[in-house]
Amino acid sequence: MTYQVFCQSFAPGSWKWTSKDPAGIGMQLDAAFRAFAAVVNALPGNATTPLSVVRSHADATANRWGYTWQLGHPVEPAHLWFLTESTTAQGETQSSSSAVFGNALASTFTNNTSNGGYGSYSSSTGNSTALAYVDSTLTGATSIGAILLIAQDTTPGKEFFCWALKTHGGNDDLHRDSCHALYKSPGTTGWNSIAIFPRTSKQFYGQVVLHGYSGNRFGGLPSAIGSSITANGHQLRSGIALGHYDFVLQAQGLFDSPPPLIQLPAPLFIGSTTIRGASTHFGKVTRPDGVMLQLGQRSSERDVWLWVPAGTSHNQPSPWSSPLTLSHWRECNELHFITGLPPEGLQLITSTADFIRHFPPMSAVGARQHPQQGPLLSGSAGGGGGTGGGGESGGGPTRPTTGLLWPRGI
Amino acid sequence: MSSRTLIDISRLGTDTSWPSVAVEVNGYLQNWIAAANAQVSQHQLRIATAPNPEATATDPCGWRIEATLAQLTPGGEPAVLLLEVFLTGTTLQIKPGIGNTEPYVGADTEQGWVYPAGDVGYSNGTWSTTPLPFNAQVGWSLAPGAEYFVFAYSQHRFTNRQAVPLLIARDQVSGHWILAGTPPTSTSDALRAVSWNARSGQPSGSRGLLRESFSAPVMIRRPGELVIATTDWSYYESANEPAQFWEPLLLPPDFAALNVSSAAMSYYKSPDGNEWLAIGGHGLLLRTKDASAPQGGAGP
Repeated sequence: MTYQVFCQSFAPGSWKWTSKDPAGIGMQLDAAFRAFAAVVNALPGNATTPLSVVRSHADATANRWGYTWQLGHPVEPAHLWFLTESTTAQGETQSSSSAVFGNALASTFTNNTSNGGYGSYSSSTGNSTALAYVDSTLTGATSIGAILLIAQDTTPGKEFFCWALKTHGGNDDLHRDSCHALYKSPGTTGWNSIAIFPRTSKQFYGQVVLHGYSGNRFGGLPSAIGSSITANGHQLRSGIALGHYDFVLQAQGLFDSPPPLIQLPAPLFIGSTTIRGASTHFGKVTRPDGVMLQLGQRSSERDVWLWVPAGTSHNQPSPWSSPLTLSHWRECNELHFITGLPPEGLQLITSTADFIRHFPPMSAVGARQHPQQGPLLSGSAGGGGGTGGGGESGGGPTRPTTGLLWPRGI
Repeated sequence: MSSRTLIDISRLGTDTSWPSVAVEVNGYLQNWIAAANAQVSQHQLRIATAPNPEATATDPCGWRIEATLAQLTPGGEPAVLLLEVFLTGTTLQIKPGIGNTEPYVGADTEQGWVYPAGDVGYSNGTWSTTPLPFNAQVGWSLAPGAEYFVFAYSQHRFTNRQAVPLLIARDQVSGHWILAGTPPTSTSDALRAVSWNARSGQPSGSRGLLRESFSAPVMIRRPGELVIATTDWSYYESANEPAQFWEPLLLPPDFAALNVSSAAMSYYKSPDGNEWLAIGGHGLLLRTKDASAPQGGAGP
């Protein structure tokens, strides 16, 4: 049972992000990740890319919540962290959230208790994220319950760890769902990360935060997600190439080196669910061969759904259970799931004509050298049309050196 | 390569008239359709209306192409894909559709055809009557499973004079025909395409190639994929349409997508050895040299 999906419910009125209770949401997530890491680290293919926990919620001082994971790599390991600072609420408006996804090389880490217990880095990159949440201890939100859902795959080459927090009950406006996945992708040796925060009317602008770690550098991954999906088409797609590392070119100085293809992990479908669908954030689509579960919530950019094939189970002890048994799901309609295929390949070329890779259209200079148009001009006696031209006779492809505006031989 | 052909039908712009070009292209198209129909027996292509060589400057002149599919609509009739490409005056219009004798839920139009609605309507651009150099290509392939016919032209450097009036190609996932075209326009999503999605059992359409943003590094992306536009042109126009599952629309391997516009007639020699001719104004590339080198890269 290498692909597993399981969840745990936290009762309204008692769950709290900042709780250090071993049965609380922060420590349960930590325990689940450690268990996943132990399994995948034992795989021969991960000998040079082991995962470990550098910081967990247990290390937090002050009002922090979050984790720092070490991503192994044959060149140099790196750290990836997700931190937020607040006791009861975060990202209550669309304008800001102090939650941060960050990354740095492990060698830049100072292992101390600064930064709310999470240590400091001499060189790091942070991305402000759209994590938003309301603790059920907040006045007015005591009827909000939470579900921590974890999907993981320990199949060699398909390693995937994804957690999603879903809230339920009480006022719909108080719900904040989020999702973060760590995974292996064809195209690179290291680990890749994608975090999806739906954009809602009550939440800091949603976004997709992508990280890829390759060689000794992190890369933000440019993404074709936007162009993959028709706007407001109620489409969710899998098989998207999330992008490539710009810095690969820079670092290698090799323009001809094809960029690695970093793919969206296969179980995830990302897209837009602006208007339609029966449920705002507990959607389900039942198929003969499995069930699609909504990890995010109704959002113009970006909702996220998880494919759970029929027969998917888990062997986690109580209180973990199957999310399929939850009563919160509502069968959804008016959605389109597009099972994409990852691209076969990307080939980089210069954006301007270089007459090596890129031959421009229809320029007087280019036409002769144009691999497809040039031969059509052969035998046309060298063109003409200018004064002082003439050039060589004999009908060969050689052009005169002056006086031409256009190879008018055609 | 033997099953593939690329013909240059470029001419000086001074005497280029659309009817003369369209009639020449139609000759190639007729031959290709005859061969394609013999080869792809489960789908029948037909030129319902051919270009009129006597068309005046204001007469509609172009094609209505039909593809009758083996798949039945919910009404029990064969699904028929439709593509209309007509120049009227200075307007070149691309109009995809699907239909049969079955009355559909939704808006029928003349002749019982249902045209796509919502995101996949018609698209049009301007044919220039100003004398301009006319670069044009006709290409086709009868490679089994990867058949295509394409007609593309460029009148100058900018996207509003570059078009792919006709593209008929086998979808690499379903095997159905894709009927598509782009008019000369600088609108980036002016492509229109129609096909049939076996998995969802309904028409599928597109209004653009899947490609990276213009701010990303310039790259040739394979396979050439069309972004599916699903809104409001399924059989389920009423509320509570069930959730649908779709396969992607993929062009044959001789096509790729480029995140550059106004590139028509540009020629690319990609590092993997393939060579590509840019056609139209929306980033479609046609392969002119096939390198059987491994595709895709791997990073450290």
